[in-house]
Amino acid sequence: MSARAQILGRYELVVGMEVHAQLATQSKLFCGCAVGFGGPPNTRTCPVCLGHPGTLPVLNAEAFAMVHRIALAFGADVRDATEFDRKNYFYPDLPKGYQISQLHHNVGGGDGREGGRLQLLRSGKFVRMHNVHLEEDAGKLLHLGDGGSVVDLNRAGTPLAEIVTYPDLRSVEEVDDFMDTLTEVLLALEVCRCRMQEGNLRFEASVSVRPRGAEFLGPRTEIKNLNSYAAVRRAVAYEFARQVALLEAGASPRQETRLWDPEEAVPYEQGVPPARRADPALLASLLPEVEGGWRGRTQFMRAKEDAHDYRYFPEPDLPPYAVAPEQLDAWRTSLPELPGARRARYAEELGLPQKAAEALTRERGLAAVFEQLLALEVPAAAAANYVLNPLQAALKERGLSPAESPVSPERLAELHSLIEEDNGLSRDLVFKQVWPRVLDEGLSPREAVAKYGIEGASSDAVVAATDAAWAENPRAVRDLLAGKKKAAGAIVGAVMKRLRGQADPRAIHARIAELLAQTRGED
Amino acid sequence: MSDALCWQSAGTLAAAVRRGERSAVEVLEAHLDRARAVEPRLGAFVRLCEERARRAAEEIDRRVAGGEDPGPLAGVPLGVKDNLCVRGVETTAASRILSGYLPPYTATAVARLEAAGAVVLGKLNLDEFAMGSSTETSAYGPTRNPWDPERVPGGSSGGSAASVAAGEVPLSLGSDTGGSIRQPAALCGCVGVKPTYGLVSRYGLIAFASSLDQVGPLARTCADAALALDALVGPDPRDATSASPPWDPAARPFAAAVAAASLEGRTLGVVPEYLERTADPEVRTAVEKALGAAERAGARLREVSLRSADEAIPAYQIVSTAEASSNLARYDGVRFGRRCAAPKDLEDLYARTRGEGFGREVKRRIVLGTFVLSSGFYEAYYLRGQDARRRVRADLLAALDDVDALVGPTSPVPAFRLGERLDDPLAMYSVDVFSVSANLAGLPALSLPCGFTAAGLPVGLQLTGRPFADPDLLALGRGLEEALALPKRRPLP
Repeated sequence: MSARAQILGRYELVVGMEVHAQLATQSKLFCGCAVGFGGPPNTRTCPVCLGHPGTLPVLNAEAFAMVHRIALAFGADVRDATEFDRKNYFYPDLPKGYQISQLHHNVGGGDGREGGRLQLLRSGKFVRMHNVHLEEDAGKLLHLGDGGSVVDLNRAGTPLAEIVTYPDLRSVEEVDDFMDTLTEVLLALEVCRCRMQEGNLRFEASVSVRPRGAEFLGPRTEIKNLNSYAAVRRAVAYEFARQVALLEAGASPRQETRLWDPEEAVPYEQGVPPARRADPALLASLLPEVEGGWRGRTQFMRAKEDAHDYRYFPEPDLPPYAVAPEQLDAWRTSLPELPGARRARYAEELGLPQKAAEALTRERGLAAVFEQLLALEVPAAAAANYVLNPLQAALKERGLSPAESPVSPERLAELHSLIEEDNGLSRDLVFKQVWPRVLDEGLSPREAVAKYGIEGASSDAVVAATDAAWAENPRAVRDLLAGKKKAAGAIVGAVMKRLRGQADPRAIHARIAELLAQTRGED
Repeated sequence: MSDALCWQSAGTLAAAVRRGERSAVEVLEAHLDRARAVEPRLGAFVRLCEERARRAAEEIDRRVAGGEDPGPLAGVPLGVKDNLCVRGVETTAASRILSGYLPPYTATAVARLEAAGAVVLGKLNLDEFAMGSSTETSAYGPTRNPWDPERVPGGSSGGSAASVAAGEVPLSLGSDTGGSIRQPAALCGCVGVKPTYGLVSRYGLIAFASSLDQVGPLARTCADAALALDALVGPDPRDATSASPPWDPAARPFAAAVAAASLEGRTLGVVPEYLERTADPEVRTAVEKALGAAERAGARLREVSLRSADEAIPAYQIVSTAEASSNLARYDGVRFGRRCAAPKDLEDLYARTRGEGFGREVKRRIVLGTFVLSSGFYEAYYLRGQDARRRVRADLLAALDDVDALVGPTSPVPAFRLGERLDDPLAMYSVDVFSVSANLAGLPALSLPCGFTAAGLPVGLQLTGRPFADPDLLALGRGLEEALALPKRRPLP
């Protein structure tokens, strides 16, 4: 065992996640401005989201429904009335000088209520959710080269669901599993576009470390500025190494907020007393080995003692919003099938192999294509095969997502018919000659067959070739007569060779059966 | 002749304009003349919008000429407290920090009165951000009491009360967070109504304390206030706290209630705690005389005790300053209003913009409000303030169980001298002792004139009613006006 593994093995990583998901609503949380990404600065604004004197918030019912659906999907205890709080702080990207959020009045969970749980797709582990609540996003402050700053308030007031977990994750892999699973769930619920590069989905990790086997939780650091899945994985790995390095040196981590800096190669900290700095050499030795050397570090931002006093209090401009039991039931019963449940159904009800069920539900959007094939009456096993083999390979090659597939489910179903029909076209032939043209030329399978005159060997040719092979392989015939079914392979192979692979194996097998019956009849 | 128009009721003026007997322009010019004559002595307006008003009046005259009905307030000159936004008209809440601010939209309350035919004459002075009881904290300087220019008009809607009392407008809009409509109405001798919380939209009212603020009318009679209320009340989709009353706002319930007013068989609850705390004996005498007149007109008086009376001011101070500290955070020099010159950095921008822009009283309340919400003090102050608020509300609702309204003085003192209380915040806050309860409880309350002191200062009487009993409260007010039959007096000849 390497020294690194030995040292890290003495400790356990403990991670909790805080997620901000921009809700995919038409308009902002408290005004009618459009929600969007990019565009000229300060064009999607109005007196309300600019915080003009005298303006008041009006709650967006669509956002309210979406955040409830998220909480219900986790199985959280959802309140029958929800209220808002003000979180007060000054920053130029925060027009009102306070953010309308929820502290005491989460939509689901929180305040001693059941927050529900999320089953991770890969590991099957359950992560407990602490709470889900609704709040408004801030704008963006952009710092100019000349030392000045400008503010763009297009994003201000965009609805956010804040999702907070318990510290239940124990490895970088589990953190990754969590991010993928949550992304799948939010996409399935159609509540978030989940484009991290556009800031639709933002993760913050709370990381602590404890001796393996310990029950207590160590002081946690909150890591901010994580703007890709890879950044989260790397930052958590870094923070694990940093905290272990501190503990190994007899120091201890402190509760603080840290910023992920993806570019810096050297583990080093500004503004932190040497006694609380991890030894750079030890820390470097504990980092995962990466080709080209490790890059990125977390940087001290502020200690717990310096945390803002947000002076939360109930938002007086918004009344409590009651949710009728019938409304909750309607939301609950209209929840889509979530990836975990879908995986179980594929394996148990459709009888797919576990691996296929996992593969179909792991990559975003594959299951949707699969479901469409089922709806087009393609049998489950065949449908899974088309999606996971030719289609997935083609998508990977082209760097496309299933939603961007150049082949529609209808055409995949047509391909299936072509294979199944008694037309002399073998599966191999279809995939070798029809499929590439469907992919590259945008033809339907039948159009490709017609355009290129693709045809299998005629049944006469198959019969003639099989009869010839029968005559040329007396040993195989003997074995077949003796009941060794595998012996047919030699005859099929010979036929295929003669017909340059254009024969349908089913037709060859049918002729072999006839010949076998005839020979037996003659005996 | 033109001066006589200025003492007519809003109802009379609107009727004349609708019938084409008077033009809206003629009515407007008469009131502008009066304003020009008295403003140097009064200072009720922070700005007149003459051009905008003329265009509006001409439009009303065109509509009348074209056979249209411009509405029940056709051509009625309206004064608007300067914390209500009017699109394109500078609106400052009497604060330096908003100097030059041109709102991009119009407050719902103003828009509704304009839609009913009212003509906005100008913006009225107030205590900065409506924080005060004397209109002395205004960045524009004080408004004076029309009955004695050495005295304050009350506040914070001092401009709204003084302008109506002085005949500059028959109708004005004010806002009431702890008595800011009723107390100046009392000190200036006019009628001021704080409706049930939520009955009038707050959209466009520059917030002081959101859970207490309410927009309402000031007028010289209950009938005129009722005329305005019929146009003002009703839910507004832009204000989530606006409420649907249990009666139809479109059926003009206020006019109907006032028309049928009578005190016969009505029960008024007299609160001994309020009379005991009435510092000025002349105020107490005037109120007791009015109660006698009410009895003679057929009303029954019943004593009802309010044990929470002493909790109201502290609860109000905590809740109102907490909300204000948050509501005023948006004045940071970033997006609108005043920004300090050449800020060094962000901290400097905030500190100097707010340091230079806000006056002393506003800063005092921001600091208090920030303190009561701070970690470690929240439970001891804010939560206890909320508890006290609930007790006040429960107490008032229980007291209203057996009576139609509570009755007592609006203010413990008549108009006091300019500067008398400005440096003594507790003395200033104490004049709200009878008025803050209605805000804490969200109840409707009005003040109407009930007499004068020997020095000729008006005394106001307050009626407080059950939630959404606003039309009935106006009817009781009208009944009292009839029973009192006060001689007509006009200030500032």
